[in-house]
Amino acid sequence: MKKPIIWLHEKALSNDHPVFKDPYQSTRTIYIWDNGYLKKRNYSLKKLVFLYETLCSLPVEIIEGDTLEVLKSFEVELILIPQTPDSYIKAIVQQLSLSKATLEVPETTFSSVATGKKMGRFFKYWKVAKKKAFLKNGISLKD
Amino acid sequence: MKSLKNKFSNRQELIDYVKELSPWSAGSPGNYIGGIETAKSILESLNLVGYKNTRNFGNGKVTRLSPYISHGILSLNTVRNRALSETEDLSSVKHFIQELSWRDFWQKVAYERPKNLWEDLEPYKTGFAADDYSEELPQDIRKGETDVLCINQFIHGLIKEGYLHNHARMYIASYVVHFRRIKWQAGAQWFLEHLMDGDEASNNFSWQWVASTFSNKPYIFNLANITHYFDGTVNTDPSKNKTIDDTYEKLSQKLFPQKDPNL
Repeated sequence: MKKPIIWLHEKALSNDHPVFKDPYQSTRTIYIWDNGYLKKRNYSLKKLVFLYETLCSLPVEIIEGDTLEVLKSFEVELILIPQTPDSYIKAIVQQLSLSKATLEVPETTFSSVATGKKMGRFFKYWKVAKKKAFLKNGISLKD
Repeated sequence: MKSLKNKFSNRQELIDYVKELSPWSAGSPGNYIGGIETAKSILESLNLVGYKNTRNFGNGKVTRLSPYISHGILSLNTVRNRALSETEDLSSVKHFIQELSWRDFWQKVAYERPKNLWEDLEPYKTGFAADDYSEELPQDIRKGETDVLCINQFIHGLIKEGYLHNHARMYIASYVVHFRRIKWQAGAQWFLEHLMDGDEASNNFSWQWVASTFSNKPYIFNLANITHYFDGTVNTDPSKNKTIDDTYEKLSQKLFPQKDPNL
């Protein structure tokens, strides 16, 4: 089995996402240009051009094909994926997890409100979040 | 498995390549330029002076960073840190950081309630049931050919630029859901096809907020409100915007005749 690979998707087009941290020892970063997926989302040309332009600015291999089929074809010990709540991407991750080991890596934390808490309306979130929202990295020296 | 090209001599060459790869995709290439360096350069030039007082107006000062945030090119934390480094006067960056917090909030709701990205979080508070709303978005809305000129002009901006001012998003959403009685899902899907900063969580929960399935009452607007914020940006001639030219009270009675007025 080969070392992990990173699957970048359209919600994490970055080269400094925590998914790139050393402990994962990934060897390859790929993006899959999946016409079936893009067509399902019915993206307009301006969105596709923006997406492609961004991919060209990243150290990523752009592969054409069906996302699931391409990902399943890699004989790797783990597929690292930037975490996202996007339902289309989540559905692919769930399908992929049935046959491959996957790890969803969250983006750097923005607020002190933990994911998984009952959110309610914005004011409830803001009551907690505002305490650290105006601090660099959302943390105080006491943290 | 085919590896695709990632170097082009100019933007037009890249556009032609994308058209060949995905010939089904409609519209023009738009003016938003993708890429890490572009995002960093826009972030570097971030200047929030005037943001607080003008951001609500059609010609007000907005950052246009959202497409880079929604694609994860810039994280919310990176943008917050850049805003904080700009000035020691917190009052000038406070509103901006609160806007970033809304995006964080929507993401957290999406993690907590994934099914509700596309299903009603709560019942409509309009006096109507979900079944009373149509499933399909009519062509006159898709094309910006409704009987309300302002709305048409906003829609043309959405299709051409892939960008809408936040208030314009709310006007269109309210027009679709409440004036035309169409399910918010149809409108949300359509927005995601075009908005350069389209993000399921922010977009869909905002539509639900307007619809009243994630708020305590439906959001409505009128011509006077558009005139206040967008005069000079869109045509606010009352004769061309009759459907929305009324008081909030009368519009509310007309749009929600079965709604308990005390709610």
